[in-house]
Amino acid sequence: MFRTEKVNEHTIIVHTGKHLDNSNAHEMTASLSEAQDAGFKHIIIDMSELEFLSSAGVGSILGVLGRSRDNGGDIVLCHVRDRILHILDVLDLCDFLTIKQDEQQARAFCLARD
Amino acid sequence: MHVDTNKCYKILVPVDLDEGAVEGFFGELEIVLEDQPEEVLIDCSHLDHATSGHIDLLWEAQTKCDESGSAMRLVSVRYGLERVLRVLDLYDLFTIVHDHVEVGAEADETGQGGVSLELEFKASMPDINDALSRFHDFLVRLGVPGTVAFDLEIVFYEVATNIRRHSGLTETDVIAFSATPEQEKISLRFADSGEPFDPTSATIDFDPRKAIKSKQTNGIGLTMIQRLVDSMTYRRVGNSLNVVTLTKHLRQGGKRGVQD
Repeated sequence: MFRTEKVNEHTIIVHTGKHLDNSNAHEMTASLSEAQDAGFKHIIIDMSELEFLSSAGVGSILGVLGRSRDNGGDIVLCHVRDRILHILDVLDLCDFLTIKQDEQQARAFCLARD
Repeated sequence: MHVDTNKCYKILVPVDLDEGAVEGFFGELEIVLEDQPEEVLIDCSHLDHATSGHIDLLWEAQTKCDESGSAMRLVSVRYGLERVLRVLDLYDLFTIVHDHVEVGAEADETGQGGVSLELEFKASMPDINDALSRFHDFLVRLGVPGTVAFDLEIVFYEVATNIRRHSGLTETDVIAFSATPEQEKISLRFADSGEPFDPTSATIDFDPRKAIKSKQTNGIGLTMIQRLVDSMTYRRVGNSLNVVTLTKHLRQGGKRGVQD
């Protein structure tokens, strides 16, 4: 499972490793679902270590995004490297997903929506 | 330890080199060598990443086999181990059997001033990842700009995993791959003997809004592939072979690529 870090009662941070692909996408889905089950409206995904993102990895985030948004929260990506941004851009996801430059901005975004 | 009918012994190299595992390995080797076999196969399939401890273990095993007059051969050598052996100039000191688990790599002159890469790998995730590492190193050697190389690696991964998912291949079936630079472009070719599957016939209708509503995230991989390359063709050859060929411009980064 991915390392998580509670920010406050509404927000939690999930840290990715170097890869988010077929080998661990199901674990990401499980981590995000677990956070939602625990009542966290906002989930920040820290991608500072992420070097490789496959379609399965993208799917693991999109698959649970609706639930967060339906509950008035969001899934916020931060520290996204240019190459990963490029992949998200190719899929027309840069405007669809909430992407912040760093963790501080991501936290501020979540706090403002609480 | 596995013994086949020809009295050929195969011993698995442990990943974790705690005292018990190392003792167990050499204990097995000792028992095998008492039988004075012609050859002993050392199975390295679990060594995705080799440490100096693994190299020491292999070297000691090699010495023991030499002393007993048995030939030691390394089988199922992963790319990570092969790379370490080459870096340490030890590659030629071991006899490596390139069996079916092994991903074969060649760089040949194409006659057009470039080199090509040819790989054959099993349709299992460890072998796909192994082949991806080889492809990555090939692109680095070729001097392909970083962003374009990253796109190509994503394309490789998505095509290979798509084949694995849709062609009904078993984990032991082989996917043949070649990458051939041609002037300003690179051509990637995948061939497999699975069920017919034409990725170009799939209608791409990936819409993130629909995807999160339906929780259906199918089609992301094909969308990535089609948008990251300049062309993709599919042929069914002799009713037995799927051949997918993709090309990508090396400078412009494909239809949706970015400049470095």
